[in-house]
Amino acid sequence: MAQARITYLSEGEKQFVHEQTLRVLAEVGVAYNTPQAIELLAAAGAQVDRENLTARLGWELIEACLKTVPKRILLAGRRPVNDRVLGEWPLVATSDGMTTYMYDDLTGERRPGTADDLATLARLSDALDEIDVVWPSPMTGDVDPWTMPLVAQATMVRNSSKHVQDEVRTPEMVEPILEIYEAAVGAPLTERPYFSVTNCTIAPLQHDKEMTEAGLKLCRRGVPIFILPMPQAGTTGPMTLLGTCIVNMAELLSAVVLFQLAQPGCALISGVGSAVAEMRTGGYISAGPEIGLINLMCLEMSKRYGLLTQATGISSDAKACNFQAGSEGGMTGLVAALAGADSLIACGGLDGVQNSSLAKVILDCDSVAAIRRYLREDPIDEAKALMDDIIGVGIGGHYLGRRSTRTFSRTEVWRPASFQRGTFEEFKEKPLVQQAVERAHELLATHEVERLPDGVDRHIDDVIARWLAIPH
Amino acid sequence: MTRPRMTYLSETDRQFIHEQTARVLAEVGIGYHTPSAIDLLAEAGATVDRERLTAKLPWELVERCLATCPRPVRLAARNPAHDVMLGDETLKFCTDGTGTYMYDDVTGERSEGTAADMRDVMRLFDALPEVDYTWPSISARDLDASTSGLEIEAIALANCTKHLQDEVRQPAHVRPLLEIFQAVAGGSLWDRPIFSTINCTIAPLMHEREMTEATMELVKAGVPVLILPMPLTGTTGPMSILGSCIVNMAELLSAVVLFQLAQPGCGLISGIGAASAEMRRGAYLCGTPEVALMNLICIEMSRFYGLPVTASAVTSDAKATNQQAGAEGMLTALSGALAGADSLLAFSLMDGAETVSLAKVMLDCDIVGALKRYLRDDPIDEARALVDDIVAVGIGGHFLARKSTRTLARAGELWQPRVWQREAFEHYAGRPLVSEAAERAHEIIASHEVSPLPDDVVRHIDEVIDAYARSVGAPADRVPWKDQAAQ
Repeated sequence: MAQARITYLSEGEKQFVHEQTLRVLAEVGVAYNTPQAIELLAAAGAQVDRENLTARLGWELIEACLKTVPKRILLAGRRPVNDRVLGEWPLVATSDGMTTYMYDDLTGERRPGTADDLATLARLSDALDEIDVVWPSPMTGDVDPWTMPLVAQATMVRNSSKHVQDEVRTPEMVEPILEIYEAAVGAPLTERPYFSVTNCTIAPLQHDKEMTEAGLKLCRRGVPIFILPMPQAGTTGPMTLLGTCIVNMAELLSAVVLFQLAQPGCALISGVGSAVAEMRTGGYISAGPEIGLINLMCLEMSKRYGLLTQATGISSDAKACNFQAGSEGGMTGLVAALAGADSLIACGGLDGVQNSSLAKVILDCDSVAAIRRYLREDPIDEAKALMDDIIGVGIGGHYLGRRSTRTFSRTEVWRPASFQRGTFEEFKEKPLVQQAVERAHELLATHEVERLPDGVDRHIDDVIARWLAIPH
Repeated sequence: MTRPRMTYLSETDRQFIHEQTARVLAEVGIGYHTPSAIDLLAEAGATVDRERLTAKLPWELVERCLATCPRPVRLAARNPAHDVMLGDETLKFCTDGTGTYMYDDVTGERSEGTAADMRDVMRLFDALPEVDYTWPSISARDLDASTSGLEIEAIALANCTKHLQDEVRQPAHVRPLLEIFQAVAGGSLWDRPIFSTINCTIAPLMHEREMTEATMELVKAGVPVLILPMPLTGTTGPMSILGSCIVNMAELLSAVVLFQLAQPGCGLISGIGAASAEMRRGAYLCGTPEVALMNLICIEMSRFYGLPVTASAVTSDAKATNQQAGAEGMLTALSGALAGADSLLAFSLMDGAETVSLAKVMLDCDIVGALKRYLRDDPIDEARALVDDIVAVGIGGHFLARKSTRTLARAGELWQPRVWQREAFEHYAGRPLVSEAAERAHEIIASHEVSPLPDDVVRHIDEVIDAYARSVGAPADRVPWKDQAAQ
């Protein structure tokens, strides 16, 4: 069987990156910014500074923690049919998040996202087979900030039965969020992890106190953690891709140590959020060749450590669903997939993940499907060579009448859902973006999300009401 | 130093494809359709059928001919600064062709290409550093059909100083064209091959009589050949990627044998034109993942045979310069580049190579720029790791004040796109990407000055074309190849 794969670092180069990462963790250390973490690390033998809440980590401790990270991770859906197992599923794709704005593909205007937009995008993701896991997007600018995290989770479980991945920014949010997900899935998340949490470290070499404390609680309750370092070459990371990767890997390993100490055997996924800065403005560049290379190095290093991975995938800094969006997403997505990422953050984001677009969700699904076709393992043998047909047709003639043409046309050639492949005239009055928007609206009009079981809706409303009753 | 490398076929897989290709050549053979080819092949030991003008090729003969193929192949240019060595392990980019229509990126309308369009497009190619060498990307449909085979090349050479690669469809065009090329090169094409020819085989397993005869003459004058098989999966190729690749490789090797017998040591380049069929209509599709995979297999097999290889690359079936065009182009381009192609076709074409867009020329330049940055050999060492900076900045803080940030930012650690829009959303309000790209193209066309051909060379070209026009009875009032406005 043949499958396209890329490699970048030699074994010697991987060892070099590994040694430099260890040097950073041992010489500089990491700020965990929470006494809870420092106590765990001190007990495990790390050299800690209780005043500054920092710790220096040796390889012995890191290696021991890496050994207890599972090699397959269940990302459960609300229904088992939507379960995905990282490490077994060929290539998981998520919707992209967490954007601030909703982009109107037809007018080119954008506005702050709302709870309705969040519900719309969750339902659209639920309807599309290419999307396995949903990230909430856009953020709900019209909801009171105190209840927004709970309203967002409630919106997700009501509008999608696929696995949800999101941040939990404060430890106080953990219990109500768990209550929502456990009610929706009808089981403890230790059994059916319907939710996984994104844990962003803060470059360079820091953890956010509140998010970390939330992560500590969640991993003890069976919630997989997607660790997402985000150093930016030139600002919060050094001005080389290699140096930025070393910071990314140091932050990643520091999180692995912490969460494995908190809950040995807890599910952890290596994320690659490293990016580059637009050096004139300091802006965040989420796509392009440098992102492809950083992804490639960090994916190879994560695999060296035996970690499952989720990479920046179909991302773009383009301002609309245009040529740049297709090219940038195509590069980062294909590179990450070729490097063996287990999951790609994929569909729907524009403008450095600031804007959500319905058309982009639809069109990115074709990119995901094309990448999956490209990466499919195919046999190189007599049956696939169709030698009997080549000899049978001989010189001149055609293959239209061959039985194999009919049989293989259903499996050999991928058919896009939205990309336009007919004649020019056929699509003259149907611009691609407009057609994608129409398809999104058709899906939204017809797709039915499996309803939550009786009583669960009320239970979720009750969780939110109790939260609202807390003085704030 | 390190750069990304892609692998697809194992050694065993390559050997399997090689054996099946050799089997096709030996058992089925090839329709050459020209007696002069059959004579050469018979003399070299192939089993020929003089009635059907076919030949079966033993592997020993193929191997012998592969051994005389040079690598790298030099593609000289009118301006020697643009000379290209194909197969020197650096990736080159050639313009794609040949579109029938010119697309208006702003209105969405298209019209048949003209000589004026071709002049603009070639001048744009001359100006863009991303373009290493050229195909004439747009047909000049207003030229008289009887002389356009010569006039197109004259327009290309007058408006672009880079190497020119194109088809020569008729043997009768060879002599006048060689005269034109030699006049522009200032001597023999053996010394300065400023032109290379494209030889398309006809799937399955055939050569076209006239183009083959023309190519046999051209190689004897020092003209390198891009051999371009184009089996279409499901119609003129079998309904599998692997089977279509075997047909592609068999046609390629059959041409290698013929042209090496005609002119031992002539420069040959493996082209990959294998594509997908849109099975409801049989239409040609070039921007699919299957095309990317066929490129991948055929690049690996061409390298296995030691041939320089040009892959179809930044291609698209999209009907406009839109997200589909970007996604398809990047998939096929990245695949070809990672697989080790020596050159990729890019710039301008969409709609299954039917339509040329000036905006797409500019936007493809950014794909090329991104690919070059992605594929650059970078060191993995202490100097690049910047660990001293990481240690010095420590926990928290930032790297903006580090000397390395300033130095390496200027040294090109981060690629800067030509047209892609990376600043704030508001910055681009009212400036759609395609409009901006089209405007940029028009600005370049308006301001770029191509070094003119010497007057005596232009007079010579006129004489050659006029003599040929008289010989075929072409109308005297046909559209001229020269830009009358510039006279």
